[in-house]
Amino acid sequence: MPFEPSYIPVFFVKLFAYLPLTLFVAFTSIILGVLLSIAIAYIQYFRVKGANAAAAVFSSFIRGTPPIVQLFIWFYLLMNISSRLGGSANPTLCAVIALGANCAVFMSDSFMTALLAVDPGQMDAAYSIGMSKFTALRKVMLPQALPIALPNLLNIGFIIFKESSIVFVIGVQEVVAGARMLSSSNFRLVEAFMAAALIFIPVCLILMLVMRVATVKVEGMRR
Amino acid sequence: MNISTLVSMFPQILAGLPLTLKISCAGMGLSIAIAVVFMVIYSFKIKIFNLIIDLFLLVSRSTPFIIQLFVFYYGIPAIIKTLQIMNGKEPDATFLSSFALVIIAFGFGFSANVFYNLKSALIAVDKRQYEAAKSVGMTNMQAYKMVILPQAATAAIRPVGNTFIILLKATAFGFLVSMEEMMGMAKIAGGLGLDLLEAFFGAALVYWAVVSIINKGIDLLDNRARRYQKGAV
Repeated sequence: MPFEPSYIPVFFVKLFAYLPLTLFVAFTSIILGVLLSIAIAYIQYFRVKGANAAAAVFSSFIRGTPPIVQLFIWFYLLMNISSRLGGSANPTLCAVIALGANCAVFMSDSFMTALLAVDPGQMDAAYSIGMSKFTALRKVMLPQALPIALPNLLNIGFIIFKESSIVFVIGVQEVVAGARMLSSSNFRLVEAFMAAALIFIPVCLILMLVMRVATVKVEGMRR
Repeated sequence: MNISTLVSMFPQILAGLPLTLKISCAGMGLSIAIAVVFMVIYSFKIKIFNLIIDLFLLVSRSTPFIIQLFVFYYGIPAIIKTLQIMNGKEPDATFLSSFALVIIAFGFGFSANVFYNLKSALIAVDKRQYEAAKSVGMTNMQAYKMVILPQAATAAIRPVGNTFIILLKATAFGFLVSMEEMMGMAKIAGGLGLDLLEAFFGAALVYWAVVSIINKGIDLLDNRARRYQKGAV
């Protein structure tokens, strides 16, 4: 099958229909990741007994295994559980859980380093006016840690966005799945995947621009 | 999850480990080679070349690796065949094995990471080190060889090691292009969807062990390379 570049723009236009799901999976995973990572950072910062060790093992596992393997494990695990309950797991939900867990572990690290950079005296001050641990973290520590962590968090979000392209393996109909589907009838695999790559580039450029602006803003704030 | 099924699958999953490591090492080798060549070309500051490299880095960084893998795996043979047809030859791209195609994809996808790792390592070296080397009469070449590069190499160990770990984890995509690496073997071991959870969990455990060992290795290497910083004057 000779290579025919004229197919690329045709696929490019058609693939736009699949972009919303890619964005949805990526952004819900990132939101889930942020929430979970704050929980993990809380556990690690206060060394919550038992939970701290569990968080360490979980984080080591997520770091030490490929995201695609984690995706399959979550998928088949949730499938097993849901089939026992008489239903079937939603692939999109599985994808969000898998990517969200991945995102959370990497983000929790950024939060931890940022929290450790905040003066611990702030915590004592918060206690002295009668705040609970959680309130102190939420109202005193996190607002100070967030600007320090932000460039890192955005970078992780960027990586998770690109990683969201793996979720087609469990049957989520996003951009890569679209490229495979469009090329299945005419065998124009190369052209379809090139078009898929071209879809990602402008979105990534926008994200990189946001990252740069945010980093500069944060640097300005800290000075 | 059935533990005995998991245990019985380990030999088959482990049979894929050599190929996983082979892809990782060859891919990393090519990535480092490309990154170093780019660093050297970049340092000459020739506008057109720098523009090309910047464009390469941009495309490599802003597309998911899985798409890059598909584009190279299917694209290189297709383009070679198209060129052969245009030149009136019989189309034949079998001289490129699928292993070679996968390695080229890894080289494209990860040389950008390595490039940025090396660049930041070079920046991390204090500028005054260069001035000091010049002040004792070293030539440009000597200053780089004996003062700047050893320090930059030390600073590069951890980031490049991290890139290697990311690359090793990305070899798990190999099964999508019919490589029988660890994921491919796990999929075969999992059979017809009956024990896939056990199979993938088994593969995950092996990846976890391998990555932990490599992390330990990076720690040791980094500590050894940084000896000169400890207890220095």
